[in-house]
Parts: sequence; C-alpha cells; structure tokens
Amino acid sequence: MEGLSGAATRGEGFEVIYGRHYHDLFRYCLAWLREVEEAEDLVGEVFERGFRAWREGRGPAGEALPWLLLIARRILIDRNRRRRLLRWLPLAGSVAAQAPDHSGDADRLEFWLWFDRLAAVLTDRQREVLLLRYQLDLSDAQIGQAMGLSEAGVRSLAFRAIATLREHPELVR
Amino acid sequence: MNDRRELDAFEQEVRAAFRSHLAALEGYVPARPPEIAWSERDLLRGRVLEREARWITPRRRHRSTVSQLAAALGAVAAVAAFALVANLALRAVQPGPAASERPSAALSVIPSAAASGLPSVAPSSSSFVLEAYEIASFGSHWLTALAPGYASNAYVIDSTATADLVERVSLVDGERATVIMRGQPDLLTSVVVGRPRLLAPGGCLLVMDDLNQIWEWCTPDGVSGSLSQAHFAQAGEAKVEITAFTTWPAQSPEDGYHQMTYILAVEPGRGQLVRYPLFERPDAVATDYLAEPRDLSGVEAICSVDGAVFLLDRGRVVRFVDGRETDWQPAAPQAGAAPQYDLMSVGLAGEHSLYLYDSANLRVVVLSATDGSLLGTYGAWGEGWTGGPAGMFVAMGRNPAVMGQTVIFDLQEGLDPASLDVPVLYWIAQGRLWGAALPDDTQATTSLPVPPPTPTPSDTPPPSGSLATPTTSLPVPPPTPTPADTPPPSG
Repeated sequence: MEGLSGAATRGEGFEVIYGRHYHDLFRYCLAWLREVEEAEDLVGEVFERGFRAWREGRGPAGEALPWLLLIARRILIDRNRRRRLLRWLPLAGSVAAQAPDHSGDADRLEFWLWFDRLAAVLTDRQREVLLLRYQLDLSDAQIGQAMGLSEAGVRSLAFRAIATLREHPELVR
Repeated sequence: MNDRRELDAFEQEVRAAFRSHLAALEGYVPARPPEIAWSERDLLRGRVLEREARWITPRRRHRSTVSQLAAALGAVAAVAAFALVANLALRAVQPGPAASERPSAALSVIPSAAASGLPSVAPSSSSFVLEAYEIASFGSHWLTALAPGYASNAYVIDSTATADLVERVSLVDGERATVIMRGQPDLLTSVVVGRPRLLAPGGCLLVMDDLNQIWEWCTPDGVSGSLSQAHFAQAGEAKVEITAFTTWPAQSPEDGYHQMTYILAVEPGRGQLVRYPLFERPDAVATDYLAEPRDLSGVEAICSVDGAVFLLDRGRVVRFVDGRETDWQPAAPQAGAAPQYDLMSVGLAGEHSLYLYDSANLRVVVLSATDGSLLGTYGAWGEGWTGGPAGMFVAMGRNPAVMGQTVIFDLQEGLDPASLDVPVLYWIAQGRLWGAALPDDTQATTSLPVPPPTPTPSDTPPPSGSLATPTTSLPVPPPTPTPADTPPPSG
C-alpha cells in the first residue's frame, strides 16, 4: 500500500489515492451495509470528507487506507445512531426499520447468512477484525489505526475470535 | 502488506472460509471507480498558512440570584459613574473618538488569575476549600450518577421521570447531548434499553438499567458513538438486585497471562460480588469474587485500584484482594467528627488514591489506596455542595476558575498557563455539574478545614475575607460571635 504522504510528495494528487483505494473501501462498506447503492453512497461520502481534510492539510500521517477506513467507520456509526433514533420514534419506525431486499441475490444472501451465523459466537468487533485481516489483508497496526485500537488490542480480539471459532469448526467448513 | 506471523492450519482454514464467502460479493464491486472531476486548484491549494489566535470565552461562574442582581446594579452604577466622569473629562480636555469607534477592550484583557495559572487560584495547601464553578445546569432535573468520559466529556444520568436518559456533557464548554435514552432499541437485537440506573467508566461507558442490562457506549471521538448490549449473566433478571458495579482489570484465570476486563457487580441478595468477563463470548459464565459471602446490604459504591477492590460499606471503606478482606485501614483526619463517607471515586491515573466525600464533616478526603494514609483534605461546603453531591470523579481538565474570563490562547506565542490541564474535581449536585481545581500539593497537613456549624446558604453572598475568597491561610469560616469576641466589661 502507498501512503498518502508519499503520493503527495511525488506530486500525485488525491485522485491517485481515490483510484488506488476505491475498491477496498467499497468491499468493506458493502460487507457492512449489504446494499450496493448504500455502499456507493458511503464510499463517495468518505472520499469527499477525506478530500476536504486532505485539502486543509489534515491528511493522514501514514497509510491512506486505514485513514479512509476510519472515516468510513465514523460515518457508519453516525448513520446507525440516527437510524436507531428514527426507529425509536413511533412514526418513523416503519420507515427506518426496513430490511434490505436480497431476494434474487443468492450469492450475496449466502454470504450474509454465513456472516450472521458468525455473529452468534463472535462480537461485532471480532468479526470486523477478521474481515479487515482476511478481506483487505491489513496488518494489525493498520487495523488498529482504522478501529482506534492498539496493535495488542487487535491481536487480542483476533486471538479470541480464532479461539472461539476453534470451538465451532462447522462455521468455517 | 500483511506482516503477521505464519498462520497455523486452522487460521488458514478461517482465512480461506472468509475469502471464499467474500468472493460472492466480488460481482458487485464496480470494475473501475466512478469518474470524478477533480479541481486541481483545490488539490494544490495546500495548507492553511496563517494561524489565527483563538479566543476562548467559556461560561461564567455560577452566581446566585441575589449576587447576580447586586452585580448588575453595581455594574449599572459603575457605568453611569464612568460615563459621567468621562463626559466631564472629555469636555474639559479635548474631543476624542466616540466610544463606539474604539476597539473592544475585551481583546486585551487577561485576568491575573488566568495569566498566572493555577497557583493564584488554588493556594498550595491541602487545607483548601473547594470553590465551586458551574459547568452545566440541568434546571430542576434529578441527576443521580456521574462518570468520566473520553475527550474531556462526562456522562450523567438524568432520572427525572420525563427524561430517564444518559447525557454527555462537555467539561470544556458545558455543551450537552443525549446519548442513551429509555426505550431505545439495540440495532442488532432489538432489545430495548430500560431505565438507566448506574454508570461505570471503562474503555467505553457502561450503563446498567433497571433490568440489569448493561449497555456499552463507545465513541471514537467523544462526540459520535455506538450503543451495544454487553453480555451480562444477570441481564433481564429484574428480581436480582444489583446495587453497584464497576469494571475490574485482572489476569485471565484460564492462562494467567492475558489481561482481561471484568464486570464486578454487588449482589446483596447472595452477599456476593458477581464477576463476569466483559468483551467475552456469549457462553461465558459468571463467577463469585468473594471467598466468603458477606452482608453487602449497606454497600453504596465499588471501585478498583491496582487490582484491589474497594467497597464503600455503610460509610466506611473496605479493601479486598483476591476475594478476601485485607487489614487495610483508612487514616482518619485529625479534626472533626468521625467520618461518614457517602461517595467514593478513584483518583487520577498513577495516583493510586481514593477520593471520598465525608458528609459528617462536609469535606473531600483523599486516601492512599495502597496503605490508607491521608493524602489531603478539602473543604466542601457552601455553593455547589448544598444537599451533598450525588456523584463525583477526578480528572485532568481545564481549570474551571478561568471560566467566565477571556483567555488568550495563541498557538504562535505559546500556551497560556491557564489553558493547561490541571486536576479537577467534578461533581453533580442541585441539578448542576460543578467543577473545582485541586491544588497541586496534596500532602496531608495538621491544619484541616473545619466546616461551619451550619452550611452557608447558597443565596447569601459570603462576607468579605471569608471562604469564597481563596487564601493561603486556613479557611475556617467565622462561627457565630462568642463571648471571647466581645470586649470584657470594664470594671
């Protein structure tokens, strides 16, 4: 992976970063949002915020992808919170609680069925660590930057997740 | 990119499972990113070169209605007198610019207290009366719990019947926001939050509701955050009474090596402290912490320092290590009546101390968590303390004494000492969040603050030279005149 600073010093613009990390960010967002359109919107918002920060000199000190993932996580958290508040309101509950429509998407449906089965034994953060490790192939340090954890914290989460999965081997076979 | 060690066979299997399942999503990933028209001028604009001085105008110190009225009348009188004198002077000397054309005087005002930092505000003595500064007001609402939060924030439980929520309060400017409310559902499980009852700090804020459900509020930046339910064995068991809980870091009993965080909850019904792993898999089981059950019906608070567990039991502090009570004895301050502790809080990180509110003597006592020795005593009466606090904690923060003043905070010329973080005691009372800077010297002295016979009413302005003005001398409030104060009759 190339750091944003490195790109900037070589005279490359933010566009290079955009082209380099768009797909990784899209995969991450799709895995959590489950809707292609929502994932596209989110990725667009992440790059918009990232561009604004980069333009104002608040870009990442190191790698660009963990920084972009951190922005994506914050937007996701904000959206979930707003959604919870909307669901709590009696009038808006039916609108906000709509489940994504996966009919006709057998492949995607199968992935999320499996991902939900993992949720029965793993916490959200444990699943996220494994996803970042095996989907995007990030190092523990990079995962830590994205999730706001120490490297040891990431290792601990992954260790516990793997230990739990050892007790449920049927989930990985 | 991945610099990890070799994966064992099972980990490789996990990785392969993830990759094969994730491959199902690849068909939805666009072949190329959408085209965007980037503005090169924007991209090359670069950093902001000029840094402007920031002007911080925090909230004013809380003042009672009477003193506010007196101050307002005084200000009006002063302005009128000044205008009269200035008018006469201008007529007498020469015409000058009108008042409206002059630059604002506030821009150059640095009060002496702010410019000199903490020492001028807080005398270097442990016999010091804490001067309360209001940070946020909740009106007539009933605040029942307080806990420190991430990024200069605090959390309070508002137990007013129409509210029943947890609010975040900024310790810098008093801004408030609701983070958890009764009836709010969990996004994943649809379990609904009950009535918030207890708070415990940790990596994330933990909130226990009236159904013994523990909710975890995690925030990466102190502002936005996510809510999830933590696994807890007694969740949903409304018949099981939990009177206090805290987080307790300890080594894992399985391998004796990994550091784990546990929830320790006081269950008086069984006379036990329930120990339950936080951030653990759902099939984890609760265990008992105490080696022997004991009467816990009078326990009001629990906290842990350096692995030891402290209980506030019927006004006295008891220390436990490995589930057994130790011979740790808290030192009693030399002055005043026998202490009656109502609140207990952990000191600053690395300080290894406990802060206790002594309602019998209206003071805050600081004890060493290691050997029970007395580290300091602060007077706690008057404005901000009426009725006694319902929760308190100590944290590094902006000195509340400089609130209400204009402080220059110029990044180019250096930091103003008044803007640096100092140890601050925060507490809730009378529907408000209060703060008071602690002096940097916490050595125990023999001259301890003695509270007045009756606490000073908050509406009464203090007499000159009394407790409201911090001094380096012993701040003993003047009691009612005694015969010794009056001259003996002649003859």
